[in-house]
Amino acid sequence: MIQLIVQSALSLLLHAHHISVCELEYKKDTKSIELVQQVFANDLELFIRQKSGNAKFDVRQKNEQTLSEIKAFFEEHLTLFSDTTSVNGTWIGYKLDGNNLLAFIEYKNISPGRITLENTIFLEMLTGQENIVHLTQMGTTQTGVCSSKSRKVSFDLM
Amino acid sequence: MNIFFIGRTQKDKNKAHTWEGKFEQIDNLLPTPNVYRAGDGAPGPSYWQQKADYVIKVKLDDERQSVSGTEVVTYFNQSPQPLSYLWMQLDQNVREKGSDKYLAKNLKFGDSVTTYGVVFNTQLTSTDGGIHLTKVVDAKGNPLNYTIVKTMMRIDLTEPLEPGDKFEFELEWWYNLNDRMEEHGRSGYEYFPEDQNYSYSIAQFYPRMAVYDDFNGWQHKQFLGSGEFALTFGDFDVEITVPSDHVVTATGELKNAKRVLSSEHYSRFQQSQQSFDKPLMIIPETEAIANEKSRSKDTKTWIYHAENVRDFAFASSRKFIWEAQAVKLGNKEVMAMSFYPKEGNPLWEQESTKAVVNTLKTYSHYSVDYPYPVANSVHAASIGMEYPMICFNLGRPAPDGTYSDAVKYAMIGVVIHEVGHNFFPMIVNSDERQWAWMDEGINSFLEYLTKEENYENFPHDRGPAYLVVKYMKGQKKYIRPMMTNPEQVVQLGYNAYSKPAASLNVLRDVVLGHELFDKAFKTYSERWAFKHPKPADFFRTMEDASGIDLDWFWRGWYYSRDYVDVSIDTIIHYDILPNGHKADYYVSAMDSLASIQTKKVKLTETPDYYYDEFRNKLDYDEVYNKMNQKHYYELNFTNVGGLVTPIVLNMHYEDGSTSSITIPAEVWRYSEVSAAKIMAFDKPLAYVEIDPYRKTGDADLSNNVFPRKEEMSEFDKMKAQEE
Repeated sequence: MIQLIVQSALSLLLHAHHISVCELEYKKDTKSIELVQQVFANDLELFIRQKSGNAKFDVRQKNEQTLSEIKAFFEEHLTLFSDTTSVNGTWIGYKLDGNNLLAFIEYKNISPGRITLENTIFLEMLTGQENIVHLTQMGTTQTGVCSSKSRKVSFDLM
Repeated sequence: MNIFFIGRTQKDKNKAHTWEGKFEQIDNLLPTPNVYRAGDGAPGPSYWQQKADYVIKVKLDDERQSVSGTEVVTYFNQSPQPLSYLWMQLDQNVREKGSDKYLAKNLKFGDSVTTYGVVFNTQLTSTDGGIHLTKVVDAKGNPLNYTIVKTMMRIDLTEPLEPGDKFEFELEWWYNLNDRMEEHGRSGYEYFPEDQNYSYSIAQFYPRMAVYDDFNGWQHKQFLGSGEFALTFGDFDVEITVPSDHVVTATGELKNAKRVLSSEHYSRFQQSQQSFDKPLMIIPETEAIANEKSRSKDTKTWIYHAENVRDFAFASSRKFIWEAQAVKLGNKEVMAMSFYPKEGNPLWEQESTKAVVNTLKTYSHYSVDYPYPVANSVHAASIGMEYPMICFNLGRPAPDGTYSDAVKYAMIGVVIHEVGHNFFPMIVNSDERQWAWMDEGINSFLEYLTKEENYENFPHDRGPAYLVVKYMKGQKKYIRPMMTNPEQVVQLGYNAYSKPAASLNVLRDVVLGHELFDKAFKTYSERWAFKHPKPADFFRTMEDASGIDLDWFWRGWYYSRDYVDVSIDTIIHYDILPNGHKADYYVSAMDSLASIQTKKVKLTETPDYYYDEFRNKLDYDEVYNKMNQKHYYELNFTNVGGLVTPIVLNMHYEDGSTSSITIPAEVWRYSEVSAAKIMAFDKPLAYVEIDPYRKTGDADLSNNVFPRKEEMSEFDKMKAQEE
């Protein structure tokens, strides 16, 4: 039940961090985009618990099922478009840093031009959620935000 | 001129126009000191504050989920001005149909929207919310004129309340409680369908006096949901009438324990006051489960007294397990207590009271000794919310009692945070409606220290500076300065919690050091305990007690949107040549990132005219010989992020040894974008690293080492690990 997820996982008053950060880095030489998405581990755990019905899902227990659930979560909530065509990403892995969980995905064969990231992480739970997206290319960082108002953010690759 | 002249590079010249006054004093941003608030940050000689005492009788209706009550308020005008009206807060009106909280929301539905999203944001709720006032009279029973302005109420006095006088008046009210599981909220109820019981966490339940002070006059900024509360200190006598099988806990000391508790519970309650080493169960789980089945139609009245508190809240349920432990703090003995339903176990019996004790001890060490007789931690699903001596905290295991580390640490974290709020803002009583960082940020900082000092390898998500860099860096259009009202910050969690906590860790770890910081921070806490501090009082006290001018720090971290990113661009080794040698004025590869280049520099005699009126002259050979025993380097830095900061340097020498030094932030005062240092070392350098322990919040580690190292990125490391 989504309602419970919202109330359990993303309490307004607990840490009021309705926010995630996604870092994209464009590697012009390899025509690839490296994506690192950071979310709060306990929020993700509760989301997956509620959605999967597995009340014992534990982000800190590294096993095949955990990996599978986490991978599915990010694949469902992150979509990259090159112009208007969605691009399949290669799941690299995830790691924990304190209460932060970082997911790593690589997108290949990305030519200069317009890219769009649809980032819907936790958007179905709270309209206050905002997912910051940084794109770094040639040493410069641009920033956008995905939220319930606009789930997509676009950048021009040089 | 001489070898110590810091020449400007072309890059520097190009950026010279970007001077932004980062080292200018912030006097023009702060209020002028006066007799109420002194220039050193302390309360001034004529500091005053108002007082409001309450006698409240409140009844909880467990059938209709509503509360009703009466309150007699005695308001003491301790200001130097007469008052022709009083302002009260009617926070429950935020739940009125058509409240500004919802009208002011800026929302769109995306491709889809959840039921929760609709209910929470568009007020599609079943609760008929808002407070209903049925009586507002003076002490003689004469009706008072009053005007309700949304979440505020103005009571017009028939005669001005003169300085030094008091005014007594009475109100009667009722309102429907909200289902927190449907509508969220800082208070309300949770229903447990399995045993058909309710757990109530009741707050903002009575009209509360707004703050009237020297700074704002009345603080009657409307309550829109994010900016919390500004409240006046006073004494409370509160009678809480509930079903007789309910267990109650509240702000203050229970005054009729013998009357409302069974003899056995009362005996355990007494024993718990001597249990200093571990919690003692007053109502164990088995008894709480048995009590869940009770359905008494009788009522009991629990009586509480609290002194010098800014608010009052309570919790009530048949389901509560109750444990208590005594804590010695200074010359006081405090009861740390936990109340939770069986659904909280086994996590709550393992961690709650322990976290309360850890919080009281650690916060008392860094701020002021906890002054109140009790500190309650009450389990309320999905929230963390604070009131004097009582807080409502999340953290619930799975139905079979298992829980992950994530659930455990979230629960411990929220108990520490909410109990910690007793100190900020319940004791050091800042204006939450105006400045969220003054309570949430300072509290998050002490929460971090409490976790660090009491728990091994606590998985933090805020506190250390490195945890905010991903939010701070990048373009600034989605960022607001910390000195922004909580209703209009873009990200409250980042702005009011994480960034201020990080800033205080930077101030403690890097700028002031622990000794200076701790002294200054304790001074602030002691000066403003049971008073109403403003940001300037904090800024000024931290400078006054530490002896360090921190205007640049407040300007950068609190008033700007800059972030920390210092690049070490080049290191040049100087080969010092004696007179007679021709210096090689080094032209090759100045900007090489790959290695430390060497430049030959001739040491010349100082011409006589340089000595002006001085008779003594430096001995050339002596200086040359001294220099020859050292290794001279020029280190060049760029301030990429814009936030001026100390530079923490680790020097790695060719022989494998290391040393460290912190260059003060003032190195940027002539040029905010670039800095150069000539440094002499006993041994040749191999490489230099900036911020090796990630204490300054440096956002880009790739430019922190010179010569640059081909290090794998975070992404590549993960890729290599998974291959």
